[in-house]
Amino acid sequence: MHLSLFWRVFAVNAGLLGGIALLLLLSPVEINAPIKARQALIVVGALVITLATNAVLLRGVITPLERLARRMDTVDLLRPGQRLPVGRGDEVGRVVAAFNRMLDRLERERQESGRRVLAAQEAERIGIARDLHDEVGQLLTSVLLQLNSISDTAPEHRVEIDETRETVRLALDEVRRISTELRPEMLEHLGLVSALTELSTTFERVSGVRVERQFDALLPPLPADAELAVYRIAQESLTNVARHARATRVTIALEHGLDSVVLRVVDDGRGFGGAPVEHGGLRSMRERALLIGAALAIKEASRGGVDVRLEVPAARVAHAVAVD
Amino acid sequence: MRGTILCWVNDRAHGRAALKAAAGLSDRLDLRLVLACVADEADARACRDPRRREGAARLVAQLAAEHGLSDRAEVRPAVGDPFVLLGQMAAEEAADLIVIGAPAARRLRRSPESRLAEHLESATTVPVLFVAERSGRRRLAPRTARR
Repeated sequence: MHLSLFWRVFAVNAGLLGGIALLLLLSPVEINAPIKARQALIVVGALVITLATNAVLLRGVITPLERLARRMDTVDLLRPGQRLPVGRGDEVGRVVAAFNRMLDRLERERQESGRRVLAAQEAERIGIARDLHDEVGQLLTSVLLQLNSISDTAPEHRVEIDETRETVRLALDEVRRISTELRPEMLEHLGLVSALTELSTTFERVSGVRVERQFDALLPPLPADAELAVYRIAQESLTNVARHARATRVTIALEHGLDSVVLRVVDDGRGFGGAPVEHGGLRSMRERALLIGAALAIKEASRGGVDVRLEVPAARVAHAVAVD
Repeated sequence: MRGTILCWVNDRAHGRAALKAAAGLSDRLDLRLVLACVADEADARACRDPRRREGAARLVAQLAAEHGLSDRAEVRPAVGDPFVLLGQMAAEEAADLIVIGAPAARRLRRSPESRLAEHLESATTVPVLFVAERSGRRRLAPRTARR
């Protein structure tokens, strides 16, 4: 039989008051006016026992609500799947069940909106990369050609023209680098290992941080969306190393997991200096991991620095192959 | 091909028993071992106190060193609700098994395993292995893994 919360609290208090009344009716205790010391002691003792019993009985009623409030404080939609046991059919049970259903709905909507945002972001990146490559790149190339012809006709300004030409070449390289970062063509054409090799090589050249690459052979293939997520998470991790870590060395690895592919980016920098505060970049990494059903751990490495570990289940691969 | 064991450690007898069992399993089955040390704290402000986290980090490093695991175990110190955090860590680490020490049962109280299992049921779908404090017996949690 399920009692409502009201009747449970009422039953606890009615039981206690009834017990006290029964005790007064059946026990030989007398209360005089003015009260005697022994009688006062009995009254105080009975009060303490009543309050303690009341507290113990009510605790069972209130504890699930406290647990619910704690979970509401800590719930994070980027870490889905956390639910509370319903356990009872009263108002508390119904609130917990409603909370669980609300989390189901919010997680679904969050996942869907995250998917749309990331798709839009990727499309925008591809558009910007194309514009940079086709428009700005072409313009800079034509400037280079013009400088070449000016250099031939005005040999007295050759030094200044050479300097300008070098600057334009640097700008062209930078445009190509940004374009590649925005749209990793290597990923589309040669696969994840080649793309990560190129990414880490560029990172090493630009940042000056030494990169150690450890890529297992014969890794199971991943679907295109999973490969892109792995690439973007590696890219964001390396960006964080360059911006915040003050590291001298970073290891980037792709390993076999248990029916999975594991990406690791570990640096020897200064670490988080406490619990990692997850904002922009780290949240975006978590969002990408969530969308491909991967597990992402961002933590202090055992010898200092930060350890990013992404495990992408290979079950998705089997599924994708079966569908094809 | 390596799976992952997540072990909840503390400096009490049952926490050490769990660590010993998890280390043994990880060794025999060549599984990755992650040691979680969670300072239990309900107050959100206290959860952000770096000293509490440093305490948990020191403790887990010390326990790993005592068992000769400093080189091969990964550590996850944290402050907050242990069951919520264990669930999160199990998901983040793609854990295949959680190992937890259960304190010895006392008279007139529910078995500690059943209380822990009830808390963990909503926090994770990963199977849980309880290591009893006194006898060193191990038994699976009375619930079905959905993973």
